[in-house]
Amino acid sequence: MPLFTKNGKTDDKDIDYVAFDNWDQTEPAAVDVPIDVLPENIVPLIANIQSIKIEFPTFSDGRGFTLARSIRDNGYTGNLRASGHLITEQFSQAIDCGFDEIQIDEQLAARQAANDWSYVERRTYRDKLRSSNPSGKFFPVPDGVWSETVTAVQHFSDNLFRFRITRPDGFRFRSGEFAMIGLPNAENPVFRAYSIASPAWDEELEFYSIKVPNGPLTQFLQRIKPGDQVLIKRKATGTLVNDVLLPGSRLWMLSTGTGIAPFASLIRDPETYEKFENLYLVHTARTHDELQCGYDITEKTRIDPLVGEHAAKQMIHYASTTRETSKQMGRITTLIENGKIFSDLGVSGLSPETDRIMICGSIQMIKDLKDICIKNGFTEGSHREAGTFAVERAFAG
Amino acid sequence: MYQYDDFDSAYVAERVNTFRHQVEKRLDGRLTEEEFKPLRLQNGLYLQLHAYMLRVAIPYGSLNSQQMRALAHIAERWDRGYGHFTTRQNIQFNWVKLVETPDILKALSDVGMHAIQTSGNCIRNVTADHFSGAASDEIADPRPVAEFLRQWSTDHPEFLYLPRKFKIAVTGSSNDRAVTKAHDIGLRIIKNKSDEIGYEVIVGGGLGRTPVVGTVIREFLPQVHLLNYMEAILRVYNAEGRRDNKYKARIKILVRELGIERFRDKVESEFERLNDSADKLESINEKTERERISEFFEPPQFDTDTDLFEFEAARRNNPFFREWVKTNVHNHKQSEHAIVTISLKATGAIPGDASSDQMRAIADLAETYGYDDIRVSHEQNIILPHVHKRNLPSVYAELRKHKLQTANVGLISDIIACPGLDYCALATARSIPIAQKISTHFSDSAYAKAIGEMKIKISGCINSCAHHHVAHIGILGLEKGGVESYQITLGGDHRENLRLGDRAGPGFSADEIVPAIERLIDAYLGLRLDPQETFLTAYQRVGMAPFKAALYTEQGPKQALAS
Repeated sequence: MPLFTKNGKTDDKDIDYVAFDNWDQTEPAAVDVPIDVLPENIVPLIANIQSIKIEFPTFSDGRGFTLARSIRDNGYTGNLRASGHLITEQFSQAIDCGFDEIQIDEQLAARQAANDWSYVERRTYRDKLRSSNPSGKFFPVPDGVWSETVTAVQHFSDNLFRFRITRPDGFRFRSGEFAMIGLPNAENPVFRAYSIASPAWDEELEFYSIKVPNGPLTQFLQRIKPGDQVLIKRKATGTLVNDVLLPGSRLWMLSTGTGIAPFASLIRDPETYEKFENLYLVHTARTHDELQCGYDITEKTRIDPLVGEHAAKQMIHYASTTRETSKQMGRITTLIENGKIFSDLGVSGLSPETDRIMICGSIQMIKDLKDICIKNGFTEGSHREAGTFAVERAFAG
Repeated sequence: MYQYDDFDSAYVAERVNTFRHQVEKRLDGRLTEEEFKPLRLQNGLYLQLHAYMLRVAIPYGSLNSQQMRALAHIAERWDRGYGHFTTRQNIQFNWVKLVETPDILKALSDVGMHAIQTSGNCIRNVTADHFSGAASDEIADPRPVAEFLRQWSTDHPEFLYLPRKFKIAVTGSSNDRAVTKAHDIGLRIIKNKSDEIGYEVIVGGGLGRTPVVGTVIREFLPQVHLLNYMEAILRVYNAEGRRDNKYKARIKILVRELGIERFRDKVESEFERLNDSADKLESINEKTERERISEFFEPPQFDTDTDLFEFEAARRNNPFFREWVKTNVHNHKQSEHAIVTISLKATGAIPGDASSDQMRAIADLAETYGYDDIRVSHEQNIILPHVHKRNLPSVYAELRKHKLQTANVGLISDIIACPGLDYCALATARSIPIAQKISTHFSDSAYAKAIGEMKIKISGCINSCAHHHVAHIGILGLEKGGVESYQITLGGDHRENLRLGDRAGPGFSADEIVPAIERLIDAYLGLRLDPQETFLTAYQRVGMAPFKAALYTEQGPKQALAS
């Protein structure tokens, strides 16, 4: 029977669906779900389902749309098919509800031509209500600024997310630098400094951001989704780059919250592994949720085709929470001062002879760590003269 | 008032193009009538007894003079020179042609109007208090919320094929003029103890063949949670509402079958899930879009002139004007202003009908004297919400020229009536001619004034479009063995303490209905304590018995039918 996806007509896939009522619910399976199954009865089972088909007895029975959205809302990422009597006018709505594909019978297909089954790329009222620019008003892109397209968004928690945008042609930066980011939602848009979390060689740019309820930028930025436009100023800068530090054997990258961003870039740059023998990525945050971006990026780096081999051998990730109870708790300053971090890792304490330090995080954290560095004989590096520790001052978060 | 932004304009224009294409597909057979039906219904197009009828939304009953003139133009160009204002703040054109409807929709979209989702099993036009932004008892203007809900519900991919139609009403005043308890969802804007604005959410109300007074499902819902909570209610309804019997498919039946406690549990847990899900409408966003919308509803720059000499003089000297002010003019939150209700219930006229000339006259008045703001009420009258009292004599004089000066708002001839058997395919009896007979019979204004406040509502079938269940005197037209028979209910109340009327007994024939009403009125005038005691309060005091006696002892319905 004809099968249509967002991209047009496609060949029928050979999926062996088992009827919902006959499925024992313990074996992972492709499941054929009748339209009268309540969302609450299928949602708890989605982890065990590989593929779902929802049967529409008639196009006017809208239960399938609620089923689809409930399943998707609760995290189902597998294939989702609508099957039965649907009409072309419902195609875009079905896709918007989370269906991947629609299968109809031959008779209906004969009456409604294949090219009537096309997904209409459009902004809906839902997008408008969610959009960072609800009025849909067009503002010209200011001089010295690129407008780039969002390619991915991932929300880690209620106050932390990451996003990726296309990289403008001719945008150069060194791993660890930051750029100025804004949205095309005003005549004179608000810009904020964002460390680039992706390495200098990446085709896209990645950023981490907090969500501030009334933040001039982040209250809108947190709502972007793939396809939206983000503004980026043409010049990148920053002090957390390899050149600012003298060579050494150990590099300590100390971060709180989204301050991990420049290090997410540096640990994916081969130069970092050439310059230092051991990398210690230290990340603290209030809650476990907020540490997730650190776990994700180190995991990704260890299997990266370019630097993965080096990372697996040379990089250690050390994370702790400051508010939420977890196995490993405490502020970085405390962990250094009481030596816990060194005994946990089984390494010696800090020494200006062998160690280099980079600091990025909250204002208080920067101040305290800088004091510790100076007390221990470290000198601050700058673009004019390399040193033994470096601090990012543009960071506010 | 709200102005379409680029998105709204583009969206509505695109909908017109899509519908034009769908009409073509219907005509060339790619769509069957069965498949075309929900599509035309989602664009407001009904097939009635004699012709297609187009129902145009007047969102939350609010429009400006340019839009009113466009309605006048449509009535003239594509209909028979008049339109019919309904009890749900819509206007209906009764004689349109299928192939011309895309052109009508285009003319509407040019002035920021549409007919989207005015029928079909989807979320319908959101209605609101017709005195919003002007009433002296208002906590907050309900129109921004209603516009917010309009945007949310328009083309909502999940909720276009519900078990049955779904109606939402919003009020911002403690005196409920939006009949919120007779809607699938009613929202009352309230303040909590900390003075924060939120909503009392009422669910499962409705009239129709099974009248039910809505139940409070959430006593206080903070503003930011509105959309997610609406989404949760609709989700439970869409998944579990009955689809086996269209007469049991409304949400009120689901709420009744599950019980409010179980229904609430389901909604609350869905609401919680939605708040955790990736696809939730972030509360923070709602605030932003709501605030953007709210800016459009800032009150106009009111004329603060306190010189009311001309107004007072006219009131002293002109008894007709004085009477009109008494019945058709209400207090405004600005004391030197007033709210004017233009009655569409002239003696013998069809309730809610307005000619193109009348619509233009109203548009002119709104532009000249009314800050370009017009409202349509569920009682089928037109409101000029802001008129400086100094201008009332001029407004009145102008209304006279167009036969719009009838001073009967709230009186016995201010009747609500559905189109009935004259237009509607569902009707079982005529309602318009009954309304005309009653209004002609009680046209003596001194008599009508003596009777005082009276709400008569006439439905031509059990679907109750005229809300007869909540009328002081409700009339329901049925068909009994090929003859129209009119059932009477007494003591309904459409206000905040919604009450359904009680059935008096066997029905009356079309000829017998006016004498029956007359007997009820005589009984009331005979038993009321003083002229201040209204029919409704008298009924609440003495109950059905004396009225039933008046209705049936003197001349029973059987004799009436036989004569």
